[in-house]
Amino acid sequence: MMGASNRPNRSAPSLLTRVTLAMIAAILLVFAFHAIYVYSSQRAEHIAEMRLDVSESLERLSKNIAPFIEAYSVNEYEKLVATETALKQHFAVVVQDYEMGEVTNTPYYVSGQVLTETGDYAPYREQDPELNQRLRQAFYTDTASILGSNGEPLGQVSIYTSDEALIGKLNRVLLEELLIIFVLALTLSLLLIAVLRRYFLRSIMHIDSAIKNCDSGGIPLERIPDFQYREIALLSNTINTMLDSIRESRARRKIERLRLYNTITGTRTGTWEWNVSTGETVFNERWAEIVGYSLEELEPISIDTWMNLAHPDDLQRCDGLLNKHFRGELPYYECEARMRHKDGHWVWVLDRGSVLSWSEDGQPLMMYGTHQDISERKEAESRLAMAAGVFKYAREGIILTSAQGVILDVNSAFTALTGYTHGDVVNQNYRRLLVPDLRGDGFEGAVLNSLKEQGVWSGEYWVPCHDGSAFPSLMTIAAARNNAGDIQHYVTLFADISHLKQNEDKLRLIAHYDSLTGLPNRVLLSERLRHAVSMARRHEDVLAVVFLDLDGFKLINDTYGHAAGDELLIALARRMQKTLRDCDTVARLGGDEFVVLLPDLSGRRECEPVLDRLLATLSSPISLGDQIVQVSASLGVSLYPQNPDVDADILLRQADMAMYQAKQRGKGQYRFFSEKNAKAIDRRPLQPLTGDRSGEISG
Amino acid sequence: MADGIRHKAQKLGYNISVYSADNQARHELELTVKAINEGVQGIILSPTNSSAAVTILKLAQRNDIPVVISDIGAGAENYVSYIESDNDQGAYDLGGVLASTLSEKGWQDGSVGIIAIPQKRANGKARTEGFLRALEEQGIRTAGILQQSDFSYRETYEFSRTLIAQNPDLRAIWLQGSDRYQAALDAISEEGKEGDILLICFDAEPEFVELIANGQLVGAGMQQPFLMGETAVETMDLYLNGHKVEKIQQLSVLPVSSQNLKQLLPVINRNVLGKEAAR
Repeated sequence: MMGASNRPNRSAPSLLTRVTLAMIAAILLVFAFHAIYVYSSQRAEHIAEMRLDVSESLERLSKNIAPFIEAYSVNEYEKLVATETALKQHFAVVVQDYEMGEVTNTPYYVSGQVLTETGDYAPYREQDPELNQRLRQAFYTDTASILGSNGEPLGQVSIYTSDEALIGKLNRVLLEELLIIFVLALTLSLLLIAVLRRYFLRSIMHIDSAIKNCDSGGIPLERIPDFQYREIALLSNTINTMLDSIRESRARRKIERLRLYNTITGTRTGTWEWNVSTGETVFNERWAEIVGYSLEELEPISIDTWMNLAHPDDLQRCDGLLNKHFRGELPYYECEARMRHKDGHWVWVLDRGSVLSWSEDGQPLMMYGTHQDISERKEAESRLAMAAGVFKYAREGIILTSAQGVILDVNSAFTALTGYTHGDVVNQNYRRLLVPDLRGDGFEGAVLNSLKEQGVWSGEYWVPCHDGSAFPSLMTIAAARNNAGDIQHYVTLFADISHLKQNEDKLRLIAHYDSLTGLPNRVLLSERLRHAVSMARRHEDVLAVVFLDLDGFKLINDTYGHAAGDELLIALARRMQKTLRDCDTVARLGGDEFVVLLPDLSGRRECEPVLDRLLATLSSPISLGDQIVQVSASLGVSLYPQNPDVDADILLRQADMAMYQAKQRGKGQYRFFSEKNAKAIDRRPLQPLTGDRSGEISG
Repeated sequence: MADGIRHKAQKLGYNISVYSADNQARHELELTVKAINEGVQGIILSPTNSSAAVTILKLAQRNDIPVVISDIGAGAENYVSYIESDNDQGAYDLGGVLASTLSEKGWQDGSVGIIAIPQKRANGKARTEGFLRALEEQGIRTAGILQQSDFSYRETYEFSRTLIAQNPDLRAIWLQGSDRYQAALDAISEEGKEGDILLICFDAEPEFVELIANGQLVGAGMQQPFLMGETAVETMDLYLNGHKVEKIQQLSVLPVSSQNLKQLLPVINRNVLGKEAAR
């Protein structure tokens, strides 16, 4: 298109022709003024000459005719008159001869010469009225008296001049001038054309031939050659500079257009142009694509296309914003609106634009803008609003940190839980604030590793508070990644689980301790027994497991009631705890059965004193209100290690069997388990350690 | 000429009035006006000069009066007829007379000087041309030509002496007029060239018959004025009677020398000297 437009229009005038015509016109104009001047001056000159001629002729004739009149040589002076008339080309010369008048008895004798219509001179005829009329209408007339030698008047001579001669002369002048103008104009024009061609047009032709070979965009491919003459050289250099600039500009513009195209394409932006006055509108393909159509499907396209697709509620709002922009209240128009997709759902678009040309009276003419599909953003905003609500109103403390660990934000629950204000923690290092008290057992590494591999860590964590205290929390740390997979933020969410911990402790107590005596129950005993076995195995020392059953407890219980029995059990439990070492464990299995674990023993001998003390303290009298009661205890002891090895359950059963043997032997004594004794008593079923034997208390 | 006119007019039955202007232009014009005013049928004009004739012809023409010009021509042609002497023929014949005389004397090598009437006059011009043609044909050189202006004795005398002084070989002087012949004879005589330089004249004077006879004049070209007057009246008569007349009529000039004097004497007496009318 550009290449075509750069070709010279055949109807365009030729510079050479135009310049030549202009020069010829200028030359003709100058010469025309010159001709007018010459004509005017020549006219004045000729009139003056004519008058001078007339004056001189009159003087000459009056002087020369006089002697002929005096001599009555009429013919002679007539010849003189004829000669003078013809010589000076007068229209007419008329002589009134008073002397001849006397001869002919008339006032004067008239003779003369008159120019005829054929151009010849004929004698003047006094009686010809037409001739006299012509004389009266002569262009110029002058008369002189003819005086005789003694001064008396002899007659008068009149000369009539016609403007025909003048016109003829002026016509000749005009013709000469025209010829001169023609010749000079022709010569000057030819010279100027030659000069122009030589010094100016030839250079232009060179430039022309250089710029004819141009690219599709109409820009010459070759540089304009250098020229000898300064002005043309300057022009050539300027054109070359301009061409370079244009090429550079075009390359830049091409890049910019490509960028713009890429931007529009890359950002999937719909574009629109709107002639506000006519309603004529142009969309790009993406505009239609946003709403699920092709441009062809939207034909005929006008501003109504937009109005028909836009949500009525949004259209009204957008119109308001548009009018504000038209009135200059807004620097540009921007409106988020819903448009009906071809499938029927609504698509959110960001409609932006501005008026780029205005009419003289300030009315908008052309407006340009874009459409961007912001449905996803709108959805994200919605989600973000929800998240913001969660952030704001959650009961859990939430900390947002950067990938580098700088705290970006905390919610109000955080400040309520920790006592830190928002200002205390924002822009502080998360690690410095919250991590110093992290457990030093690889906990931090485990957290970071989990975040790295799984993107989340969850666990319990003691959160330090502003006042130096801490509370247990159930904490979740999540890494928020961008689309590239790089960590952008960390979100830490923690809930105060202090009350849960308290409940847990209570439950643990209920599960592991005997509610009456506060001694470890069967469950805890089982754990400790297994632990003690493993420790004895590891440390290669001796563990004694003592199974203890009170003698006579049923009688007291039946005699004094369950409360008294319970009280007795509590008191005995206290006594046993006091008798034993800290590392020893005494547990109540139920009823009046207890188990004592004696770890870290060197052998059986070291165990026996303890057993004796137990028998002694248990058999000591006990005050129950107003009553003093006394019971005894039967103890069965099994030792670990054994060969072959045994487990905890076996150990406890062995101790139970030994206690049974002690009961059989008369109560109030202890017995160590041995294999030979075991067979005798093996008929007794072994009670599982974890079972409930509360109902099997025996005396 | 007037005698010839009267003679012929009387014969033809016309009343004739003859006026002499006495070579006065005003008088000539006054007489013309007078004649016109008297209602004459025609005018026979021998003008004072050809120029004056033009005005007279114009006045006559205004009154439709025919004019026949006689002897001296007119500067215009609005006349009925012009009767003149054949000056060219007369001068040629006269040149022949002089040439034969010089030949007889063995003076062919000598030159001839000319004292001419004004050459602007048609008759002067014709006389010179005719004479020179004759000399040229005879191989006789011309010494020089001097033009008269006031026709005075003194003028002719001085011209003659000048020619004699400037041309040692001068053998003849041709005087184109007749009335100042004595000045030329006196100059020749006083220069001591009498018998050595001949004199020849145009036109005639009554004494020329004798001068030619006694050899003082080689010859003379004699016009015929009486005949001219008669011819003028005849021409006017013919015109008034409606006949066609010749515009120009030439009368011969008689080349009179001592050889043909006797023969031509009767013609001379009638047509040149007008002795017919006297009878």
